[in-house]
Amino acid sequence: MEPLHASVPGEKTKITTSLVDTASAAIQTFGPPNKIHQHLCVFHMYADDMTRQVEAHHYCCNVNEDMRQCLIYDRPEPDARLIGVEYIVTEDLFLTLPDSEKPLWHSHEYEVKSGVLFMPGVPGPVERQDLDKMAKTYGKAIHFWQVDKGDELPLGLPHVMMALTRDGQLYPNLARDMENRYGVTFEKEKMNRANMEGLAHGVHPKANAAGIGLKTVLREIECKPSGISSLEPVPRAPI
Amino acid sequence: MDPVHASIAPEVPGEKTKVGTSLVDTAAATIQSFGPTKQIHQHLCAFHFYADDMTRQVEAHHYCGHVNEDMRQCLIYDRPDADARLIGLEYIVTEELFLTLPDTEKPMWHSHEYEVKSGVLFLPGVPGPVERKDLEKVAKTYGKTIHFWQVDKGDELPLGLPQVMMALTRDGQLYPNLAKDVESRYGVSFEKERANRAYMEGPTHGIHPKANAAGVGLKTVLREIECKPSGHPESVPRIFV
Repeated sequence: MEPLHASVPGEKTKITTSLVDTASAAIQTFGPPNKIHQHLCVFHMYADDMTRQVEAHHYCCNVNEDMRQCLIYDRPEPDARLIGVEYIVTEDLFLTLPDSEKPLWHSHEYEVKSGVLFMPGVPGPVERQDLDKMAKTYGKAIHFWQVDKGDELPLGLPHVMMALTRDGQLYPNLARDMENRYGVTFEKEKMNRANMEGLAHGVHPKANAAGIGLKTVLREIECKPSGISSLEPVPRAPI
Repeated sequence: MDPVHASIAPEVPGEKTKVGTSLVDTAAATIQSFGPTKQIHQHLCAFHFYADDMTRQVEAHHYCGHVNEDMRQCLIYDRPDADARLIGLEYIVTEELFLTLPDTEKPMWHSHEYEVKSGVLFLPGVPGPVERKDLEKVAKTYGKTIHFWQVDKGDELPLGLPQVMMALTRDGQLYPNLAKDVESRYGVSFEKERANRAYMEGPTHGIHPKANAAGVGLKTVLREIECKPSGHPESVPRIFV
């Protein structure tokens, strides 16, 4: 299925709004987002439903040598929708996570070695320098906007996402569509990456949700009030 | 117990970024374009608290871009520095768009009227008159905020489930020490800004009763279920290799 390019409802941005934006942009600095140095393209699946496969454009930066944080958009255009985030850590860091946390993370070895994960526009030799490392990492991806359902706005709860872990999962039409648009060939890349090693300790059995489905649900509970003794307790109710 | 200030944040574990890594990054950065992230045009500072626990209040640095006139998408970091941690995101919509949301969706969104009119929400470094042109609009909007890194607990890595967050809706909720810390660091005075913003109006139809979680607590939990397989002819389960 072709990715849906539905517009977000609402008026086109007014000139006056853009002017105020430009004024702030001229004065303020955007240290954290300006650190983004890499665009990666790959597919995610919902952790409770492998039939829902989403093209995910990652914009990543290194927090340090062992960790990256990525913003995920539905396409690489200025009007793209921010649909998720992903954190990427080395195997060393992953192994420090509590066992209850590990299932929320997925391995990258297959995605990299199959050729499906790539950096648009970057020449193979440069790309492979980084992907060599990526193959040894784990990621935690969360999506908030179900664009694959055609949602015009980010509705519902955030969802934990998973990644491809073996042949036969990715829908061929999605793969071909991506290959055509970017002029890449996954099979060819797979051969180029055949020498890459994966994780030193193999894919951890608790990663990739240990193969079960994970679904986020919302529970209504008592909201703990802020309890400031010097202030009158004030509930968080609409005015 | 005093809430944790953003200024005393633990470091993310791991080695400092190697020069070799930075070089590959720079090479990629000169070739690739970053259209979506270049849309970011505004830095906003505000506080969020967890939708199930108002004692956990977090300083939130928003980096926002307009999708269109009615909607913005913001990245949230724990501080405005290059080594900041990405801790959440927020979508901001006009009242018109908010009213189109299903009733089941509305509780996850919060109003901005109080945050703006109290002076607590501000654009660091932007002169008052310019700032107020935009905040006039923000006062009428609703936001949906999700955080995924519990830095206020001192988590060194993003553990646990994403959580819905809420915003301040009246006096007496924000911890005074957090307020004073932000005021000192940015040289702003919330009281003074409150006076400057007294003319602003909130949503035309008033704050929707279903917004702000309608006053209840909301907590995201995980349920294990059967994972629906991809239904591909040679169907392959999603298990580890």
